[in-house]
Amino acid sequence: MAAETGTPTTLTLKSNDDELFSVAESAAILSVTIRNMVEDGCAGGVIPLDNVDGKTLASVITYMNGISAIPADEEKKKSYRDKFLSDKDFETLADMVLAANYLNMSCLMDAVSAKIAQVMEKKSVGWVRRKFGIENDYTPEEEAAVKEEHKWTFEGVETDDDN
Amino acid sequence: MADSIQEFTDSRQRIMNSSRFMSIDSCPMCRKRIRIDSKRQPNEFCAKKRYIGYNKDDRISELPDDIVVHILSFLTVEEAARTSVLSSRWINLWEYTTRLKLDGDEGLAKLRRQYMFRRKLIESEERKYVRRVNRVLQSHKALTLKEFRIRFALQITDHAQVERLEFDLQDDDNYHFPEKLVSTSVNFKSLRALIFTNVHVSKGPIEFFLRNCPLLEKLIVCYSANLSNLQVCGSSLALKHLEIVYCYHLNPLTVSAPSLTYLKAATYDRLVLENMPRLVEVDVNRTDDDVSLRGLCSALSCFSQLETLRLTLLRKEKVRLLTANIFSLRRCIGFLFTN
Repeated sequence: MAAETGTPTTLTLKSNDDELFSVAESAAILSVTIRNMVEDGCAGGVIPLDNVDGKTLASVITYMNGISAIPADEEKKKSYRDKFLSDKDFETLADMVLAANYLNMSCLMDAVSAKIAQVMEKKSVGWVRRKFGIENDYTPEEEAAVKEEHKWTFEGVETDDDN
Repeated sequence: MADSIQEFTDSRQRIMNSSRFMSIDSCPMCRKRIRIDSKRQPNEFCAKKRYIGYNKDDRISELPDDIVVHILSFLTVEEAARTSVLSSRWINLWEYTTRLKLDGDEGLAKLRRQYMFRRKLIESEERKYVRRVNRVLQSHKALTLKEFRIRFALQITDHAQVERLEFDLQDDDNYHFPEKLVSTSVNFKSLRALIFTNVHVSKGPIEFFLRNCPLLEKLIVCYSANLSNLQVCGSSLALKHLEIVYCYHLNPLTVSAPSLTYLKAATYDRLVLENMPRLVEVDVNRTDDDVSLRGLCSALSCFSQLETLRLTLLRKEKVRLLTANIFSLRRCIGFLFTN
């Protein structure tokens, strides 16, 4: 293993649009999917990641390198994650959450999910629909019925037309 | 209040008996589409439209169910459940979240402070909260919960398997942990973390959890006036992290847990420590009498893995005494002194 020989092992990852990336094994094994490949001895050569595009993979690798450079200090890791995600738009976050799920990286998955949830927090139904482009496919009667069923969730929430 | 508790139990029982509750197909971790329960659809017309296609820009609705459910797990239950109104895609996703945080009690605590003497008003609000908890438990379908938090804890029922149980009653210093709870046949076998904050809990329930939760790794008790004479002992305990803080009538606390790596005991009471070969970090308050300090140091010197010791002393002049003793420790990198 890398630590024993003194020279860091690098892995080559290939995105689904055929971009190649080199990444230190020590950083890449943050992904349980990749770690399993390394442990099973099938991480030699190029590792194809069929569900991740080049742009997203580049971003995930930046994260892998950044977070693995921080020693075991949960506070610092958290602030790195916050900073890393602060300038990402929703489009990118959606790609990242899919990639994190595919690569089985729970820390990134949690951070991105929490970030997306944060956007929805304390917002009216109408606001969330507009923000994410969610099409309301209920008929007015259906919507009223669903609302009635979930009336308890609206207690204490300012009601306006948006709700 | 008794009525509410009964109501709570009854409705829970009904759900446990209904077959719909434990359908394996609906487990979000199985990476299957969650099927919309036909009974829950508002009417048959919209069934035709389900899952046919979303607005092209609607990335969030396109995400797989388990990811959306994961995202919803970071919201409060109320907020997660409110998403069912967004569109038919969202109608029952919230029911599979793996965290249940019923924090709606903040308003209640405020009410109690404001209208201390209007018992009826407070009771009616409390009933509302209980109804809401019932409501959530009725609808909820996840098989395993990572976290189940009720900020107005009344009765914990057997909700599949709970991994983390947290009682946190920040604004209420009169809540006594219902000891009846632990004598029931509730399944706590998968519990890994148990946290009591501002809940008066005595040694009985805690020792019950220690005996009956083979996977328990973390135990925190913070501010409990009832706790005394606690023994955290057992050769098969999986416990790694133990914090007993601000419990002022502990005397003594006995700890003997082979897997323990972290111990925090913010108490000036007597500590009996033994059999903790993996102990790495200790954080204690000590009385400044020489005997107990020497006793602590000699007890700690047996734990060969110990790296960090944080010690809060009442008086600074004891430092010299301490350093004389502490050399017997293998490594000791942290001290804190107050005053």
